[in-house]
Amino acid sequence: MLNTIFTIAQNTFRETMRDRILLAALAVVLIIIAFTLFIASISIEQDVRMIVDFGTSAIYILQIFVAIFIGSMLMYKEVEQKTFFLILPKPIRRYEIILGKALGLTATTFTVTLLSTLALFAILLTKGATLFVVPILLSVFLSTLEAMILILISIVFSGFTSPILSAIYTIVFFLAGHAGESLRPLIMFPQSTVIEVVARGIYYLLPNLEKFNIRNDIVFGDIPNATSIIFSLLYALFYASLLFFVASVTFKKKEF
Amino acid sequence: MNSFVKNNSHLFTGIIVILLLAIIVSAQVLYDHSSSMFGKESFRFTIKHRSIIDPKIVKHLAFGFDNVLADYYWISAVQDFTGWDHKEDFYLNYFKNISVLDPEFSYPYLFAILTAPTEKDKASLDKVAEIAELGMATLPNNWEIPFYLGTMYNMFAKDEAKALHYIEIAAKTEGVPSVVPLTYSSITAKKLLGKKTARELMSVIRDTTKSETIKAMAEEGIVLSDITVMLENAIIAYKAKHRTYPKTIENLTAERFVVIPKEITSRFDIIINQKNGEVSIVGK
Repeated sequence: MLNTIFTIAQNTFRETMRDRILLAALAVVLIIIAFTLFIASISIEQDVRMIVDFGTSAIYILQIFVAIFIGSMLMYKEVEQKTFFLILPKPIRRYEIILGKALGLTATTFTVTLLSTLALFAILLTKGATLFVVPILLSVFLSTLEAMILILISIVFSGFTSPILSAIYTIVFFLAGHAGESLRPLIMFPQSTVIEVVARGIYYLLPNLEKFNIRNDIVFGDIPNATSIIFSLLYALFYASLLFFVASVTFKKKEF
Repeated sequence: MNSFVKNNSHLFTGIIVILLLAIIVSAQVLYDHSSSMFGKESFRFTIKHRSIIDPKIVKHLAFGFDNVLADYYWISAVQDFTGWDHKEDFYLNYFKNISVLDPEFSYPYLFAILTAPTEKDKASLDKVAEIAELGMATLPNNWEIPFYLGTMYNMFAKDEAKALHYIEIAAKTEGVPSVVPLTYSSITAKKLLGKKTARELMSVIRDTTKSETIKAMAEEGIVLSDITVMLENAIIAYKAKHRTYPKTIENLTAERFVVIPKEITSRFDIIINQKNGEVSIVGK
């Protein structure tokens, strides 16, 4: 079983790494990272902050782009190119395909993240700002976990809708996942019990993606404590497991 | 004819591209020339209005990009500072939004305190104080925010109570450089705030800051403070001679009561209060 998953993951990784859209997105992000030097030059003594902020955000945008857009196309491409029909008759379970696909795309996300992070480090090195290595690594690690959740959300949606709609739904989840803070006043000071219950339900059921955002803290050299990181890691793993389960059920029932 | 075009299609494509480029460049050059885009005066502009998201909702629209949005507002504030007419609220709103998006970003608080309040709009200091209060609550170990605020209350608003209040907060902050509590003690012992104290406070800012920009601003504050004192002495001498206050600075310079560097007169308007002889130096 592990061999099958690994083979699918490997193929997905190879296939997505050859994707021209991905390579173009990576090139754009590398240009943005280089451009941070210019932004830094007009920021009045805030150069390192600007490089770290814009650099990590550019990497984050790349991860989200891979998760949402390439993730939504993942299953669709297989069906469109008829390669899915070659796999289906073989003794491979559908959940193995989903897991392999998700892991493959996560590996792609990880690779492009690594490349762009190295570029960011090179830019920071020109400013002599080596203190940010560990905080940045931790930040991109946490945002990779967020990307993993979004990959699975886009796979879940691609099970029953078109790639465009799947991407739109995933974007909605992404935005809602970062709007948890906006729901807090509705929970704390409810106008009615119904509103409170609904707000509380949305707050707890939707993925809390702000948990993986430490970009605001790392510019001050702050790193969240180990408990918080472990909690975020476990949250990501359990949420990913839930999405994987939902995706498996969806694809199991789907007729090709 | 057709075969000639076919055989030289690359040549024709090249010529068309060059022709189109030449038209585009010429049109832009003509436009720039007509509106003197590269003239010196093109850099002197006044920004009347900027659409900025309300501070109350900006956080809800950040979607995880709070830090980048704060940086964007910071860069916008820096870029718009020279064009700001010191009247419109948008400049302060940049700092409001920064304080909402990234309350720990300390430099903008200091920059806002030093740049936003002017002689033109003394009430702006209270608006800056609102933003700075948020910074003081978020960064309780930062002595610079209350100290700079106290300095500006002394310099611009001449509000002794508020100046002392903020300088006291700075003096009592943990890890503050010893010069700050010493300055506070000196001020409270003299029970006097004023231009000489402004110079003292500005000197503390200049000597303690690591920022070259703030150092330069404090230097300028010290120079302006010195010029103000010098002018007021000259006004006293002028009044003793003429039994009236000078109407303009030219009255003083013509009779060589004082010599003001051209650099100052070209950048600032010097206004003499005809009732009490007090001097205000206002940026042009």
